[in-house]
Amino acid sequence: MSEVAQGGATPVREGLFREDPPALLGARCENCGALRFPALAVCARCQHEGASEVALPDQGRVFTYTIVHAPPPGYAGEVPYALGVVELGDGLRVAATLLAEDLAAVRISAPCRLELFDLAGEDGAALRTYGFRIGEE
Amino acid sequence: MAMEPTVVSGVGMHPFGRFGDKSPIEMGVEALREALADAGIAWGEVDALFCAHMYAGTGAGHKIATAIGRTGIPIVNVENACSSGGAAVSVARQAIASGEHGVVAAVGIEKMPRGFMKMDYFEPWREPIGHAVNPVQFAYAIQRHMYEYGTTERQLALVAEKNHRHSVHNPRAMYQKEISAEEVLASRMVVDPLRLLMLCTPDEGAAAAILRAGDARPGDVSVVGQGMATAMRSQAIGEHMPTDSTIEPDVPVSRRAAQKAYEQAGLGPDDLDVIELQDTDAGTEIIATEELGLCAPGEGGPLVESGATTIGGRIPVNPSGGLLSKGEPVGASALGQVFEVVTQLRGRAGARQVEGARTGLTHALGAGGNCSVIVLQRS
Repeated sequence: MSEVAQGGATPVREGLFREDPPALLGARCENCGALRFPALAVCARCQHEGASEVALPDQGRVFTYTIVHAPPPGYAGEVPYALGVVELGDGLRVAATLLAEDLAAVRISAPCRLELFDLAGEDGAALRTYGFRIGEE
Repeated sequence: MAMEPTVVSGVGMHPFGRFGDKSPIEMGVEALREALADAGIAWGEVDALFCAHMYAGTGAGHKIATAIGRTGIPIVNVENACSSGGAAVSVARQAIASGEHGVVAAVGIEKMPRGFMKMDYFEPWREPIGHAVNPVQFAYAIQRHMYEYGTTERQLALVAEKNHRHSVHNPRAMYQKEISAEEVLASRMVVDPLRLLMLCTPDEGAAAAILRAGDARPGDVSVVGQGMATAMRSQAIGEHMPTDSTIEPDVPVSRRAAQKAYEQAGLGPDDLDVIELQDTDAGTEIIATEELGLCAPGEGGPLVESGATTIGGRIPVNPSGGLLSKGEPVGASALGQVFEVVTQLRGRAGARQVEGARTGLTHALGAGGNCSVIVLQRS
C-alpha cells in the first residue's frame, strides 16, 4: 500500500510524516517518554525541553469519527469525507482523515492503517497529506 | 478561595439575530445602556469595562466607550472564543471582589459571517486538508457518547425540540418558533450525527451586565460562585481541540470549572433551579448536563427524554431557547446567558418563567478548551 512520492506532490506540512515506508513522525519526550503528534519541542506532560523524533505505529483503531457533508473554508478536497481520531496505542490519539471506498464502513473501533494521499492544492499542484484507511476486522 | 458575593445590579440585551449593516459597537452600546438603566446608574459611575468579543477587531470596548462617553476608565477586551462573555463576567467579578473597583460593566458583542466558522485557532495547514472544522469537534464528542452510552439521534433531536419550544416566549431570540423532533431529524446532515437543526447558527447581538460591590438587598441577584478551567492535553474531544492527544485519565473541563463554582458558592447541582448552558449543538447540551452534575455520566440522553430539562421539569435547561434558538454571537452569547438567568431569578421572564427560581447557573465552553461557569442566586 505504500505510495512513493510522486513528482510535484508537496507535503501539507514539513515534518509531519515520512514517505517510505510511510509513517507519521511524532516526538517522544526524553524525560518522561510521553508521545506527541505533531512533534513539539516541549513536553505537554512534564514541560521538559528535549524530545526525539519517533515513527508512530502505522495501525490503529477509530476512537471517534464524523462524516463532513459541507465543504469547510479552504478545503481542497471533495465532500463528503470522513475525519476521525485514531488510537495508535502507546498512549496516543491522532486526528486524521479516514479513507474508505464506502464511508458507511467508518465506525468506532474499526481497525485502520496509515496511508499517504494527495489532494489538489490551490494552484493545481498536488498536496500530500495523511489518512487512515479503514480495514477489515 | 472564597470571594465576596457581587451583586448583578443590571442586565441588558440587544436581540440576537441578523441586523443588516448595524455594527456590533452599536449593539453593544444599546445593551450597555439597557443594563445601566436597569441598574439605575449613569455611565459615569462605572469604574471599569470588560468587553468580550472575537470578531470585532482592535479596541472594541474602547469604541463602545467612544460612543457612550470617554470617562477615562480602564477598559479590557476579553477574547476566549465562545466562552469570552463568561470570562469577561468572571474577571469583572474578580475586579469587584479584589476591592479594586466598586462598579464594573461587562459587555459582549459580536457580528459573525454566515456558514461554518473560519477558526484561526487551527494551524493554517489543517485548512486545505479539511481538518479545521469547528463542528467536527462536537460531532466527535457526541459520536463517542452514542457509542459508549447508547445515546440516540432522537434524543439529540429532542434537545433541539425542547429549546425551540422555549424560544417561542423569548422575543430576543433569533428563531421563535416550535420545531418538532421529526423536523430536526429530517434536516440535512452536516457532520454525522449532527444535522443542521442540531447546530446553532452564528449570528449577531450583544448583552451586558453591571456588577457592584456591597451587600445584596432582598431581591438582588448576586454572583455566588464562578469557575474557569482549560482542558488538559488528554481531553481529545469536545470543543477543546488539542485533538491530537494522549490517553490518560482526566476530568472534563466543564466538570472541573463547575466544581470550582459549586465549591465557591457552597452548593451543588441539586440546589439549582435554572440553567443556561452551551448548546452549541444538541450533543454538547447532553454532555454538559452530565458534566455539570445534573445527572450521571451517560444519562444526559434519558434526562432530556424524561422532560426534566423542560420548563416545568425538575431542572429546566436553556429556558431562553438556548443558542440553538438565539444563535451564537460568540462574544455575546455567555452574557446572554447571564441576562437570561438574572431575568429568571428576578421572576421577570414572562411566559418562559421557571416558577420560583432562586439559584441558577451559566456554562460557556470555547475553543482552546476553555470553560467558564457562573452561579447566581437571588437574596
